[in-house]
Amino acid sequence: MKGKWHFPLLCFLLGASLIQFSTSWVILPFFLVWMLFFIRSGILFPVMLAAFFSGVLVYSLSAEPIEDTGSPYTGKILSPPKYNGSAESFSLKTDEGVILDITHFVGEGSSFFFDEFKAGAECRVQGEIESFPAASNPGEFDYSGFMQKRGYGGQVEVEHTAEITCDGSSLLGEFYERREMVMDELAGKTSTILWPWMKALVFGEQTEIREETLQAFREWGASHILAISGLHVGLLCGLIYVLFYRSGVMTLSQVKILILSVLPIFAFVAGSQPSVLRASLMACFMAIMWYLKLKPSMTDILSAAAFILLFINPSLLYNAGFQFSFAVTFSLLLSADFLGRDTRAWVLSLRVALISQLALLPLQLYYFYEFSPLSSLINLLLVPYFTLFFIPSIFLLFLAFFSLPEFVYEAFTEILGGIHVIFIDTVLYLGEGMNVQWVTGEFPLSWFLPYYLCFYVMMDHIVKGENRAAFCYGALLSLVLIVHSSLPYINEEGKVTFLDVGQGDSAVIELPHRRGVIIVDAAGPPHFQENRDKIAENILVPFLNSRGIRKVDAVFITHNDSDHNGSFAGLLEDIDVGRLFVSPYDEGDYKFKKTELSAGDTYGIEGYEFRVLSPGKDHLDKNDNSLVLHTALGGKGWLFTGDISAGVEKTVQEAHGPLPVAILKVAHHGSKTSTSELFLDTFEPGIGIISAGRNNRYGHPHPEVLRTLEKAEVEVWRTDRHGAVTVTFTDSNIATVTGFLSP
Amino acid sequence: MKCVYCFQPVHPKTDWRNAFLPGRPSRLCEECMNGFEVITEGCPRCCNPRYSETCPDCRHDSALLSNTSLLFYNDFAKEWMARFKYRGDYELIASMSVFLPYFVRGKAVPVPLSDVRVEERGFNQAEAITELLMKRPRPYLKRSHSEKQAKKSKQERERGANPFLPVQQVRGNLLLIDDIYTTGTTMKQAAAVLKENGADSVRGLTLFHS
Repeated sequence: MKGKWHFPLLCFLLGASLIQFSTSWVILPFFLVWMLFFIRSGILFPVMLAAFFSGVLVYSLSAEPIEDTGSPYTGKILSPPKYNGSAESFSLKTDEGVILDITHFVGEGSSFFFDEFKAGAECRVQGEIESFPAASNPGEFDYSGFMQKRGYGGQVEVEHTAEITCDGSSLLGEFYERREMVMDELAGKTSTILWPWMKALVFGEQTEIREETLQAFREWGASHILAISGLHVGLLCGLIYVLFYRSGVMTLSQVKILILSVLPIFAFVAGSQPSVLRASLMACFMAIMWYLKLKPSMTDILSAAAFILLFINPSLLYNAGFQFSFAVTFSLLLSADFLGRDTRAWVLSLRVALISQLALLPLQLYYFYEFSPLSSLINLLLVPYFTLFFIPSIFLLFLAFFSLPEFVYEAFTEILGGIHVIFIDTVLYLGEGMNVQWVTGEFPLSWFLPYYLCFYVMMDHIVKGENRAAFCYGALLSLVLIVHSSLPYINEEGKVTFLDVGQGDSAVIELPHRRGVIIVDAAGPPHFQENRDKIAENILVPFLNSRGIRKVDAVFITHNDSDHNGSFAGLLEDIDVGRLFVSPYDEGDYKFKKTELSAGDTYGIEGYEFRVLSPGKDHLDKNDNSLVLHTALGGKGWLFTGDISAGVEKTVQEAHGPLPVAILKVAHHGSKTSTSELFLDTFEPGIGIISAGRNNRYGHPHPEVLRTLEKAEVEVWRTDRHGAVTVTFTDSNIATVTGFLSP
Repeated sequence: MKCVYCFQPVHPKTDWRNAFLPGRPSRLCEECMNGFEVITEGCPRCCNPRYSETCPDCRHDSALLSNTSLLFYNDFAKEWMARFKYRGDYELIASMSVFLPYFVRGKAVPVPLSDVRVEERGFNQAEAITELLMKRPRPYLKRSHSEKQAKKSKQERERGANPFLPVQQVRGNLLLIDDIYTTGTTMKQAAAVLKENGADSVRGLTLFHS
C-alpha cells in the first residue's frame, strides 16, 4: 500500500462529490471503468471501495437539513468574537451540533458587549434564527449556501445584553486571548506599513492588507504566498534547524522534537486555516517519520493529512482554501521528480508557478470566472522575494520582538517596511502592464473532467520527457479553455437579464452569437450604504464575468438617479464600456464621454436597433425625463420605460401609437404614478417585468398597478419575488422566461 | 518491500506516471532499475540499439519477420543474467515485470532447451518470460542437444545445423520468446522451422539485445 494511499482518498472525494453535486453523476461510468483497473491490485481494491462508500455515507449524513429547536439556544462559543466594522459576532455551536452566527449591530446607543466573551464559554442566547442572505442573481456569491455547507444553521441577531448570558472559557479560549494580546501589542510597536503583512504572514489574517493589493495577488494566482501554507511551515522548520542545530545549541534529535512541539503552536498562532493545518500536519508526520528513521511516501502523508482533516470536519471539503491547498500540493508532489531534474532557480520557480497555475485553473475559474495567463511571470518576481527574503525576515522580526529591546525592534520594522513598500509598489506597477485577464465565464464542474484529463496526460508525457507529445496535450488543454470561452459566440440564443439589484433597475442584454452586450441602467446601492460600489462589485460585475463578458458595447442610463446609475463608476473599474447614452436633460457626472439621445434617435448594433421614444422635450422632472427605449429582440417588441409617469406614458403613446410590445419593463418599479390602463391597452404587452427591492420602503410595486396589470392579462415577473429574471430569445422567438429563485 | 535483486528496501515513488492507474508493481529498487538501459531506438527489424536504420544483419530476408528487445545487454544486465540463468536464481525473473509491454500479439512459443539442458538448469528461461507475460506457452518445437550457443563464434553459429525440430503442424501468427538476441541465429533457425510447418508469420520478443 505504500505510495498508494492517495487512491482511497480520490475514491473518498469522488463518493463525496456524487452526493454533493448533482452534475457529478456524469463521472460515475468513468469511475466504474477506472475501478476495473484495480481489481487485480490486491488489498488496494477493497480499501478503495470502502473509502468510496464512506465518502458517500459521511456526506449524505451531513447533507441532512438542520432542525430549528427554538429559542433559547444553548451551546459553546467556537472562536473569539470578531468585529467587522458594523457588527460584532461570534460562532456558537449549540448542544444539538448546529453552528449559529450570533450578531450584534453596534451603532447609536448600542455599544460593544461581546468582547468579554471567550472561546469555549457556555452561552444561552434568546432570539430568532434568520437565514443568511441567499444569492438572487446568476454569478452572485451565495452566502447562504456557503454558510450552510460550513455547518451553519443561521444567524441570530441580539440587541440587548439581557438576551445573552455567557460564562467561563476553555483552555483554547485562554490561548486565543494570549494570541489576541500578542497581536495587540505587536500592532502598536510595528510600523504601520509592515503590520498588515505581519498580521497576514504570522497570524493568518489578511484583513488589514489593502483590497486592491489582495485583488492583484488573487489575479496573479499568488494568493498562496499570503495564505500561510507549506511554504511558511517549511521556512519555519528551516529556520529552527539553522538557529538551533547549525549553531550547535542542540542535537539533531532534540531539534526534531522541538519542531514537533513548535508546529501545533505555530498552526494555532497562524489562525488554523486549512492550508496551514495541512502543512503543519504533513510536517509533523514527516518529523515523526524522520525520527523513526523511516522513509515515507509524500503522497501518503498528504493523503493522511486530508483524511484526518476531513474526518474531524467534513465541511472543509467545500472550503476553497482546502481545495486549492491540496490540489496544488498533490500536483507538485507528483512532479517532484521532474522538478528535481533542473535546479536552476529561475527554471524551478517558473515550473512550479506554471504547474500550480495549471493545476488550480479550473478551481480559479469556478470561483472567480477569470484568470491571468501571464501571472507566472509576476510569480517569478514575487516567489523568490517572499520566500528568500521577506517571510524569513518577518519570522525573525517576530522572534526579535520577544528578545530584543523595543527601540531596536522598532528600527528594524521601519527598515523592512520601507523596503517592502518599494517592492510591492514596483510589482503592482509592473503587474498592471501584464494584467491581461482572460474572462472565461462560469466554468461548470462538467468541464473539469476534460480539462484535468488533458492536464494529466500532458504531465505524464512531461515526466517521461516526451516533450513533443506533452506540447500537443498542452495545446489540447488550451483548446478546452478556448472552446469553453467561445461557446457564447456559437450560441444562437440571446438573453436579457433583469438583475435583482434591490430597489433599482439594471438589465443586461446579450445579443445572439454574442454580437453585442448592452446594459440598460446600472443601479447603485441605497443611500445609507457606505460602499458605493457594492452592487457593481457583488452583483453586476460578477454577473458579467460569469457570462464571460469583459466588454460592454453600450450602456444606456435612463436618468440621473442613484437607483439607475449608481453603479456606473464601479462598472467602469472592471469592464470596458464602449459608449454611454443618456438623455439631454441628464446632468449626472459620469467621468466618461456621454452621448445624448432624445426622441427619434436610434442606436444600431449588428442589425439590432434601439429607438428612443422619449424625452422629446424637457418634462421638468428627472423621472419624467427618462430615456424610453424600444427595440425588437427575438422578433418581438421590448419597451424599457425608466421611471416615467403616466403623463409621459400618454405622450409616448400619442406620439408613437400602437407599437408592437411583447415585453414591458414596468415603469418606476411599479409605482402607482405610472402604468395606466390606457397605456397597457394601447401596447398590449404579454409580459411585464417589475424591478423592485424586497420589502422596499416605497411599497413598490403598488397593489393597484398589479391589479391593472392583471386586468390587462399581463404575465408579471418581479425581481423582489423571482430574483433575477432572465428572458432567452432566438432570432425569431422568445424562448423562455425564468426567475433565478423560482425557475 | 525489498528489492528482488539487491535486497535493499524499495521506496515506491508516486508521480504522474503511476498516480492514477495501478501500473505494474516494480520489484526493483530505483538504483537497480537505473542499472538497466531500456532500448528506445534501434534497428527497426531486430531492435539492435547500435543502429537507427536497418542493420547489416537484417538486410537479408529471413523467416523471422521482426524482433523486439527490451533492454540493452550492458554489464549490469550481464551480471543479472549470470545470476538468473547460470546460477539458477529463478525468482529474479520477477524483476523484469516493469519492463515488459502490457500487451503483445501472437501465440507465444518459448524457444525450447534440449532435455539435457533443462535437466542441468532446472528451468527454461524462455518459458519463465512467457509466464511473466501472462501468456500460454505453446510447445511447438523441440531442440536436439548441442553446445551452448554462447560458446560459439558468429560463423560457427551460422554454419551449424538447425537444432530445432517441429512437434506438430502450426497455424496463425506466432511470437517467439527468448532471453537474449545476440546474432539472431537461434531465433531465425527456430522461426524457419515454424514457418515450414505452417506459421503465417513469426515475430520475436527477447529481454535483451547484445
